[in-house]
Amino acid sequence: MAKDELQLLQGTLDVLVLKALTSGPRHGYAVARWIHEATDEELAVEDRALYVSLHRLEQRGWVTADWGVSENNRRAKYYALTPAGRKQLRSQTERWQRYAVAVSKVLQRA
Amino acid sequence: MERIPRVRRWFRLPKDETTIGREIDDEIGFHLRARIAALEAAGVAPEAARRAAEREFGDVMAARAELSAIDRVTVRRRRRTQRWRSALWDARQAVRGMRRSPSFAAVVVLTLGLGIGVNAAMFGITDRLLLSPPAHVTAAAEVVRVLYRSTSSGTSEPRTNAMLPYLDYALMRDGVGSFASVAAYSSPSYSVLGRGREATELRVVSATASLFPTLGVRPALGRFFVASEDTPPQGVRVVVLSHGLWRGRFGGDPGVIGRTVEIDHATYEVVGVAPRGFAGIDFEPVHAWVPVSITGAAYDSASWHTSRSMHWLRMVARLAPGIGAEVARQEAAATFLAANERRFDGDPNADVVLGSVRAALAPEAGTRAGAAQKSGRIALWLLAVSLLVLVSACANVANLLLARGMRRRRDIGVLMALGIGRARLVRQVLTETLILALCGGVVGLLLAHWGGHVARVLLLPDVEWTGSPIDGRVLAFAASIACIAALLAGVAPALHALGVDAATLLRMGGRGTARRSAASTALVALQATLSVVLLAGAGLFVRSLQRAASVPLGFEPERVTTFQWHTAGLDWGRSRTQGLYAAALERVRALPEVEAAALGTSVPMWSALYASIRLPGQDSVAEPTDGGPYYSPVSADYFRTMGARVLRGRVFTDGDVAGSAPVAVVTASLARLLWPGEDAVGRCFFHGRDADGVCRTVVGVVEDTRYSSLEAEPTPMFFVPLAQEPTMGWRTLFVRFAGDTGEGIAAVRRALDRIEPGLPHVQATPLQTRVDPQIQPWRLGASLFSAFGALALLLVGIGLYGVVAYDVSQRRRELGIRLAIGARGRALVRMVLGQAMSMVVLGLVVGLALTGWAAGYVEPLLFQVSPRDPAVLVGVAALLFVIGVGAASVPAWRAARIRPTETLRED
Repeated sequence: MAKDELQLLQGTLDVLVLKALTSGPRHGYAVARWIHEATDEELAVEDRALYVSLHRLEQRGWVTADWGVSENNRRAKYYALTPAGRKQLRSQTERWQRYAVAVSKVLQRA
Repeated sequence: MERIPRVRRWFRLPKDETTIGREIDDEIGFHLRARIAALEAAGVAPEAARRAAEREFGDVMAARAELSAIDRVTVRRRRRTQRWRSALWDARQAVRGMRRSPSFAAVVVLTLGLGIGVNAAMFGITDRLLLSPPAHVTAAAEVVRVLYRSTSSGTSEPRTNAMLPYLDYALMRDGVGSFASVAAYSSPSYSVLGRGREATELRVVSATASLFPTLGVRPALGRFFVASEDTPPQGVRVVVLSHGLWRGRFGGDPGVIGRTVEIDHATYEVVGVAPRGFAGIDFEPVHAWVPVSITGAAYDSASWHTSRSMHWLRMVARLAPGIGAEVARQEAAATFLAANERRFDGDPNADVVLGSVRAALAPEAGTRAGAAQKSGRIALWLLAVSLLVLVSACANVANLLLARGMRRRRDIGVLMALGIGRARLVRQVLTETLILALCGGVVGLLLAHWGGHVARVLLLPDVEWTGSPIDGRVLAFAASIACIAALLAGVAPALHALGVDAATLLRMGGRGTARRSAASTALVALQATLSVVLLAGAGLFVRSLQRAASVPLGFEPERVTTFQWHTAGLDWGRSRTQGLYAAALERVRALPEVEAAALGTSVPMWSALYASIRLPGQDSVAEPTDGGPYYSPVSADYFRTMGARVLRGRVFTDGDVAGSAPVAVVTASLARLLWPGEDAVGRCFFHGRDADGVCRTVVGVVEDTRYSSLEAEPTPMFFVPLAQEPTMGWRTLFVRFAGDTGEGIAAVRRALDRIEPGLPHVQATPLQTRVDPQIQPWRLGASLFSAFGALALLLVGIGLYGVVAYDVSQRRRELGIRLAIGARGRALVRMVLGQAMSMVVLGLVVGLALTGWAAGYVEPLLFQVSPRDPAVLVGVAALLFVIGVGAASVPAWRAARIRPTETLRED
């Protein structure tokens, strides 16, 4: 994947990751699966990028991470949204929607 | 108890690189395994599943590096905020603690405030006197004093001299390229401004036009005089006023520029006003500056600027840009020595010395250190001494904190059981002391602001101080000693916090019989030690002061005042001067306020005349070891006026006149020197100022006079009748008043005014003001050491009281049991007192040992007192003992009044 595309995707990826955590704490693998399924495998993104996103979000204080035990009794790192992360998701969603509307308006005119 | 925020966070944060890496490996491993398992469950072959999972994930190694870089930053940031948060929490706890026990906080803050305050005040003075460049000098590092070294006459010792002739200034100005500019200036003269009754005394410095530009000082008003006004042989009469004089005498009127003023009976035009607080670079009072070529011409109009013998100017220079001091010194030395070849012929010590304008770094010139240097040394001593007060204050605070730490040990136990680390506890204790110390610093600065003014006046009363005693440097100093104080005071309680373990503390609970640690005993002993040192210092200085004040002077200065007309600049002949003083004596004698009056010439502790003498039949006489003999022509009644005791024979009468037999009065030491073991009265000697062949007969012997200093042995001296010294034009009127000196001076002034209205200014100086500077160092040492000693004593009293009171309160049960089983109250008092006094005695012994060790260093500062003066040491011991018993007896008495029934019931 070209570097440009990754960078273009980073912000979007963050929103998707935050969205993946709205229904409760998840480990990285579950976040990855949720995104792949929610996008019907349309999004060609490596799992590695998702982890980078998760760790960045942790650094910014939008998610917290803690070790827990997975469904099949393995030690796994769980991520959860913080109140700040929830707020960020709301504003990002709004921005994304306005952006999408604006872009599609332009595209429809042509 | 407060919940510590996010305690668990401490355990959850990865600690180091390896942990971060392991966690990332675990996380990626879990992902890959989960994906492989899912693919296999969907029917993919194991090997294909692994490959698919890895492909979907991407470059594992790159991911690992990227993630650990992110996590490292995360951990670092989080640790930082964590630290801030816990510091903030500690601070909040400390403030809360202070609010809970305000009296405790007040005692601590006041104690530290006292310690920090005296230090800040003393530092402020020392800094201004010794370390900082003089006010208004720009780029002071480039400005140097120019001095020279030569061999002291009669010895082989080198000696540094500051005074140079104008010629050498011109030489350096024109011949030394390393100096960007050079200036010369004189010592302040004793002059008068105005005339007659309105006149005021003035210190005037004669300076070259280059002085202000060389120092980089800009006038507050007008300008400094310029080179064209200061050209030898004769300059222009212009004057620059000091800011203080301008404000005081001219009301700060800007219109003063261009006006004329009369200085020493000559008219000068005011051209400028110096900036506020500028008084040259020597800490001497200066009121005005006039061109050097005016003063020089007044001495010797033709050749003052080419004379090699008038050593009256000090020199200062500014280094040329980029020139180092050593390069400049070498060039100056070469120029100076070449021009003065004859003078320094064969003198191996002859050299030029460059000194800093900062007083501390300036070389001492001549034998007399400047007033500022002397006071600066004393201030330095006092700064060291005030540090002892600070240490004592810290010991006190440490003790209070220890006591409180004991009371809080259950809290500490709970915290430790919760898993709070010892490092954290120590940090909390130190935060608390830091906050207390900073509050103490604020109090200290308030004290220093006030105390600084007092100390300035005590140390250098003549200097016109400007600005607050608190400046940025004092502020920084106070802040740093507050931090040091916090560390000093906090270290014992912190160590104590380290030394306990949770289980013991919780088991002991709130009561228990835990004694204070050995630390608090040591702290009280330390305080006692310090107060011994300070009190011994105070005692030694008080004794010195007593000794110095009771030295037999050979006269009684108390009610004697000297009067002199300021005749500088007036063309009065010798006979007019003599006639006026004679008339003045007649009038003054008749005043009811006057007990006795006489005329003389030189004034003790101020001026002196030397004479050579010879005995008939001998070629020379044994020379007095300290120079001399002095001689003094005086009128009849001089000895009565001065209060000098006559030991043998008679003193002068009105009958000892020009034509009568030449007579003399000698002091006891001169009599001993000339005629050892014999009666001096009736003998005669040749006096160098008499005509050849005239042998003066000794008619009386008076007690020795300390004429030039208190410390030296009295110089042999003789007196001759004033009327038999017709060539002596110099006169001083000595008056002994019957009552108040102030009223007497006013009466004398009124009487002199009637002799000839509009006479020049009359300078009236109580003799005591000539004697006082002689005892000033000891007075200063005595008052400040006493103040510091009293402070230390107060601190040790408070400290001891605190320790004993706490001890008694902790031992209530034990003491109650003792009483219940039949111990007498008196025995308990004795026991408590005994334990308290053992701390004091320990401090006393160490303190006395320390004093004995320091004795050698203090000795030169004392006056005829041994630094191991037994009376002082016994007195100190007794005083400390009394204070110790006093401080311990209240809690001891309380111990005896414990009711066993109550203490045994309480739990």
